[in-house]
Amino acid sequence: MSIIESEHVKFTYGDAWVLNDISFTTCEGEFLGIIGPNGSGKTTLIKIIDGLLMPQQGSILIDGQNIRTIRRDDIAKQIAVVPQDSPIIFSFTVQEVVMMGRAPHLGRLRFEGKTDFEIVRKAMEITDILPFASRSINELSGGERQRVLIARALAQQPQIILLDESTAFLDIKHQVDFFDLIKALNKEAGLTVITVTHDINLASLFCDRVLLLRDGIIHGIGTPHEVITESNIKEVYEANVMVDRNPVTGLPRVTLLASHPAD
Amino acid sequence: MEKLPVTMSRVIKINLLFVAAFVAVAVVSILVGPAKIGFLQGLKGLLYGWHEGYTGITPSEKTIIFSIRLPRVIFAGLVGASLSAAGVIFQALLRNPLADPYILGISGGSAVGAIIGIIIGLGSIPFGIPGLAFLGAVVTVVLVFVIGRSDKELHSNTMLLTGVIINAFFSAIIMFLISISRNTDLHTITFWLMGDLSLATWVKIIFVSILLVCGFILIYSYARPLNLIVTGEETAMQLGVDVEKTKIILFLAGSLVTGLAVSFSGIIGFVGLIIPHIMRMLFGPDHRLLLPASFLFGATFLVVADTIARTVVPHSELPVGVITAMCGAPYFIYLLRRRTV
Repeated sequence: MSIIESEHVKFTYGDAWVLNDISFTTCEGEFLGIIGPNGSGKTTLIKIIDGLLMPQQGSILIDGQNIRTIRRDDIAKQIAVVPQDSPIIFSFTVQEVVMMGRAPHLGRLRFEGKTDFEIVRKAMEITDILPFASRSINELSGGERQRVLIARALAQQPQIILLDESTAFLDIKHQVDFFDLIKALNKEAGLTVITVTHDINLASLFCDRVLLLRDGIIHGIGTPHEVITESNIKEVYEANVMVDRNPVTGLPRVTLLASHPAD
Repeated sequence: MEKLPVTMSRVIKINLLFVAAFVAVAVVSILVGPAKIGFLQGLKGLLYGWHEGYTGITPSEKTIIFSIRLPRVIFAGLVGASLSAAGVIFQALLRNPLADPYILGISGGSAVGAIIGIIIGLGSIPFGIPGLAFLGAVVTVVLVFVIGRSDKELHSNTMLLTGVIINAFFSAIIMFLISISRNTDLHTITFWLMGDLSLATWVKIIFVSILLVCGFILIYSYARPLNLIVTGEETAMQLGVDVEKTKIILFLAGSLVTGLAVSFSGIIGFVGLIIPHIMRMLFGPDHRLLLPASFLFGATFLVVADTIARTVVPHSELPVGVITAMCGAPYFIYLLRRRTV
């Protein structure tokens, strides 16, 4: 069953169309990757799916309902976003930040109850941040903070999770750990995942389907085998690459070829 | 320091302690002053003196306690609470720990209104000077909103810069007005500019406290959205907050609370900057605890400062803003140093 439908979405910040006639559907429990070069409209598309930006033409349907007609706090009950690392000026504790994920369920006034503390504890357990629950968020390393933001998204108990280059600043171990965790939630809990990423190999490894954006237009959408091809990547990224099969997984693998490689 | 989670019982407990501290400080403040009243005698007078037949204190002592010092202490508390709560809001909305209630230029606008009122002799009319000062505050808020709002959005940085410019512009007008004013008005103007709590009356207190309590309840009902906005406006939206609506309501509430306090008491500096910082260091940044704690501690602080202001120099009285700045500035530098080291 489709959970997100994008119907002929067109969006502009004022001059040219940043997104032009974007139509696709995402099924419940799907893991979709959005790839494309800088400025191709990936982050804008994520913001439109979350209702932070409203398209000038076309519409986004969540569970069949137009996102324009859904209240902000009801969207937040369904969709969680894990952003890139964002600085927080006042020193909230890790637990306080994760607890913010309960906000859409609690409204403006209600204090957190036992179930909320239990949900937050679980989210921190899964992301392995329980040991520093009472530390200030500003004392943590980049990788630890990113896990806090994931825990906050989990505490929202969403049906859909949007990842906006969430692992851009993580080292390779934490990148894989992060995607393993998301994949497990995707498989076991039926969480729908949409991730924007620059790492095509990571997308190939984890995504059921990949959407390739070029200048605000869908260049291709389909399984990694269908979309991550040498001709597609060369054409869209204008980069010299070789695409072959990963000998372990059999999935498409992108290798950069430099014009002046080191000897 | 171990950081405890903010729960309703913790919020209530801490704030009951603050209420007790305020009452204790207020009682001591009432019994202190140039006219000496014995401690026990004064305490009894405070408890029973409002009975017609009570004879433990003389009629003049009764006047001093109930018509001069008690209203003044309550008024100082109201103003301190307003400025501190407004400081918390502006620091959170502008995501700038150096923001204070006057940052949008409200103090400048009020001052222009008040000085005009003093010069044209509105002092004898009830609510004349504060009324004009409040009008100045409202005009300023409207200006900042009109200039700071574009694309149907409030831009924090634009508002902040607008406030700075408006304050600079009003300073020029204030200088101009002072330079053309009569010598007899200068003392009044100076006291107003430095903060003056001596003009408290019961009518003013009732008026200000009703509006302030309503404003504070409205502000407190947005404590959780404020927590989320502090972590970033986009994050707050992703977590379900209607950010634009929340910002408009809180900017207006904070501005009006500030305008109200300034109009009746003049420009008392540093309270709204420093109290939120001290409370945040003690209790963390959660506004469900931070707002009421700042409100109550701000009240206590200004009562202490005002007590010092009216007793430290014999046969004379200092503007309370002198005391708050003298205590506030060095303490703030100490805080800044302690954070970085």
